[in-house]
This record gives sequence, C-alpha cells and structure tokens, in this order.
Amino acid sequence: MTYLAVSHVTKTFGGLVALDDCSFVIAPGRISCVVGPNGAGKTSIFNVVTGFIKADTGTVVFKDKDVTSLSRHDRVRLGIARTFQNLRLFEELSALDNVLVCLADEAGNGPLAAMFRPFHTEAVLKRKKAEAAALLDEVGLGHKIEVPAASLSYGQKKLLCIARVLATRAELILLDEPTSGLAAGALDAMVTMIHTLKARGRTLLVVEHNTRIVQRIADDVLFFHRGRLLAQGSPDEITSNEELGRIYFGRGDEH
Amino acid sequence: MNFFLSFVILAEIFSIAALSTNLLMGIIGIFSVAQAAIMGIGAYTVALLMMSGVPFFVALLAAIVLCAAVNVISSLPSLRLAGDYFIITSFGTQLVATAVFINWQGLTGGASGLFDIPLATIGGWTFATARQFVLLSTLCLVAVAGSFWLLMRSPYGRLLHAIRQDEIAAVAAGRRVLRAKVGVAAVSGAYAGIAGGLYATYISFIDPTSFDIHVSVLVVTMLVVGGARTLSGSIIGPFLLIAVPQLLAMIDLPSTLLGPMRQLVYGLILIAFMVWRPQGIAGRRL
Repeated sequence: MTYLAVSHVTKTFGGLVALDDCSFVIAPGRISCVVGPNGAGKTSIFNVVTGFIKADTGTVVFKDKDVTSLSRHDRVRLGIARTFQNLRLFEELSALDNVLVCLADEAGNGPLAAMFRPFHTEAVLKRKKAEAAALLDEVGLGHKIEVPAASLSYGQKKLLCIARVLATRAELILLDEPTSGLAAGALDAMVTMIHTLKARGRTLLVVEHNTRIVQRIADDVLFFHRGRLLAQGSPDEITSNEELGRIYFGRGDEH
Repeated sequence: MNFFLSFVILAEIFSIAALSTNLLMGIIGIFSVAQAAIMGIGAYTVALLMMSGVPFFVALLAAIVLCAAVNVISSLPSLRLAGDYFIITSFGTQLVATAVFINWQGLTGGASGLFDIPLATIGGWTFATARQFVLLSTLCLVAVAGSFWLLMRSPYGRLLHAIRQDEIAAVAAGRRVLRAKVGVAAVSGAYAGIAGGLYATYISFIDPTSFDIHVSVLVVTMLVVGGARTLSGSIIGPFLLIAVPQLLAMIDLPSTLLGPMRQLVYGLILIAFMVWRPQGIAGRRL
C-alpha cells in the first residue's frame, strides 16, 4: 500500500517556482522532517498535501486514494490534518471550545437539531465537552479548559494546536514549525508530545528548522531547496552530506 | 396604555429583526445592510397571502420559508467576498429590493403600498387590539430568542463563532464552512420573515419606505447600541431606539420636524456609542 505519495508536483506563483517536480513517498508510523532554507518550499508542500493550494501539475495519493482534487475538509475526514505556523487559534473561544469545534464527530453541527432537538443536542454537547477535555488533558492543558485561547502562553497555545489536530482523529498529521519560538521547557514538552503521537500510531510530517530537534525526532528527513527535493534519508545521512550542509548553513562558501 | 403597548409590540418586532441581523453580523461576521429588505419580503408575503384569504399562520410559514431562501441567496456572495466588499453587495441587495417594492405595482401596490391587511387570527383567536397583539408578538419573540439561545449554546453555535474568528482554521479542522454559513443565513432569514409578517399584520399597512435602507441602518444601530453577539443586546437596543420616536411624539414639535429630528437623534446615539462604548450596552465590539 502507498501511504502518502507525492508525485511530480509543481507549483508556480507568477514567475516564482515554489515547488519544482517534487516526488516523495512517506511510510506510515514514522516522523518525517521537512527541512531546508527559507523559501525552499516546505510550507508549499504542506499546502499541497492538505489541499490549501492546488498544484499546477502532479498528484497526491493517500492510502491508495488520489486526493489531488479533494476539498480541504474532505482530506481532513480522510485523515490528513495540519497545524499552522501562525497557529490560527480561535482566540476568543475557550481552550475547550477550540478543541470541541475540531472534533471529528459531526453531531450537533447543524442549526435544525440545535433548535428543534434541544435535549438531544445538550447530550451531544456534554459528550463532546468530555471528549475535548480528555484531549486537553492529554496535551497537558487539563487545567486551562475555561481559559480563552488568547490568554494562554505561547507554549500552551502550541499545545492547544496539537489538541485541535488530535480532535480531528487524523492519522497523518502535518506540523508546521511546532517548536519554533519555544523556551527550553516548553520545547522539551513538545518533543515528548511528538514522540507520544508517533507511539500512538500517528504518522507525522514536521517542518523543523532546528537541526538538533531534527536529530531528536526524525526517522526520515526531506531536504528541500528552491522548490526541489534535493535529498531524502535518515537524519545522519542528511547531516553528514556536506553539499546539503553548505546549502543550509552557507558553510564553506568562502572558498 | 395602548400607546405603551404599541411601543412594546414594535420593540419586540424589531428585537426579532435585530436577532436576525445579529446572527449574520455579530455571530458569523457577514456584515449586511439588507436585513430590512428581507423583513420587507416577509411583510409583503404575509400581506398578499392574507389579503387573498390564506390564514395568518400559513402565510407566516410561507414568509419564513421564502425569507430563509432569499437570505441564503443574497448572502452567498459573502462566501467569496471579504467583509468590506460584502457591505457594498448587501447595499445593492437592499436597493434592488426597494426598487422591486416600488415598481412591481401589480403585486406590491407600488409607492402607495398595501393597506387593509387583515388581522392575525389563529384558531379562532383574533389579535385585533394592542392588548391582544402583544401576546402574539411576545410569544414570537420568546420563540425566536429561545431558539437563538439554543443555537448559541450548541456545538453549532460554537462553530459559528469559530468561523468568524478564523475561517481557515475551521476548514483545516474538517468543518464544512459553506454548509454552516448557509444554515445560519437561513435561520437569520426566517427570523426576518417572522418580524416582517408580524409588522404587516400589526400595522395593517406597508409601503416601500417601511423596509428601505434607513430601516436596515436602524437595525444595525440597534445592534451596536444594544451590543452585538449577545441575546440581551439584540433586545435592549430595539427597546431603547424604538422609544426615541415615542418620546419625541410627547414633545410639542411641528410634524415636519419629527422625521428629521428622529434621524438626528438616531445618528447622535450611534456616534456616541461608537466613540464611548463600541461594545454596546450588553455585548461586544463588532
């Protein structure tokens, strides 16, 4: 079975080539880190896999199903979900409601039941609140249930993003820079969280800048540069490759 | 006493219209200045059907269904247009509706409007006097406010708030945002239909000026003054602003000054709230 296969994806914005004939395969149950300098196409590949941008050419296959032309919400239902670099929390809603809105269960999400079957809806609400609270517990935010997202610390906001993406029940999770901007303690919590997700059978695709974090979490590394996938391999293979090191750090450009 | 009751009835009818506008503007963030047009469609529907012998209850149901459908269709551009642009679109919807009310003379009676709209009768009960009608309008407001409260409490209500705050995040969570928006536009339209239907049968006379852009702006003002997003705000606002012409009527003003005076007071109230209390009396900032 092909778990996730991106084949010959090209995307241009005007004259800028964001993705240039990218092809790769991701195996289930692994953590794959997407690395590369700024503008390499890391977020673009996220957007193509999750349907937030349509590729000019190429296909995305998930679990043997061609999802290239599927809508964003249909991909989530199939099991592909993402977080955002700029978080995109529902700032005025409580942590609990942030998760509740993202639950895979569609019950109670229409106006008719809410107005004409109030007791049924109340039962659904109670069930969903319990489910959302359990997820917040899992990410360590059990004590912040009623707090508006806007009042959480940055580290807590990032954990809330994880709880939201867990709520979708997606099995392929794309995390866009989950550790950026985190202080040491929160960073360790996030790394542990990522390992926990893997242990629970999730497949992860992670945009990550910090090579030390990549070493700690990655099973595979995909190295992008100027819209092209230059290399795919184990963290050791990638970090020991001098050519890639030069591109990433500008190392050895002096001579 | 009748003077006071007719104030209560009008305030209740506009509370229902304000709840309709609140769903669109306050809750999901579709900024519409066409809600008077939708209310007008409800009023003309009820008036025309009752004048041709259809019972009030059936006519009101027809108005609810029609207004829900029209509101969904007229809100559809907002699914593609960003907030500010949709205001212009809804302004256009309002002007088109007024033009239709004025010019489709065979149906709407044109600029002179429809009069002698029959009294509301349900199951042998006739709501003729203000004392009787206030029962009907209160019952309708309780039903509408109750459904609004249930909506906001439900998972669906939380989803609507989420969509207003970050639509992309709602999509990324797998939510069908389009379906949610269509649903709320339908409910909002249904509320406006109830408001229009009650208005037509209570006043027993409607004309295009009853539902023109000024009325839409008045309803938005009510929402700002009362406070958007909350249930109580949508009731406080109309009761306060409907009181203005009633109070002005007590002052000995020449009748030619009454209309402009009213608009002036409304304008001053709107500016005062925008400057000193943008969140309104019992709500949040739009």
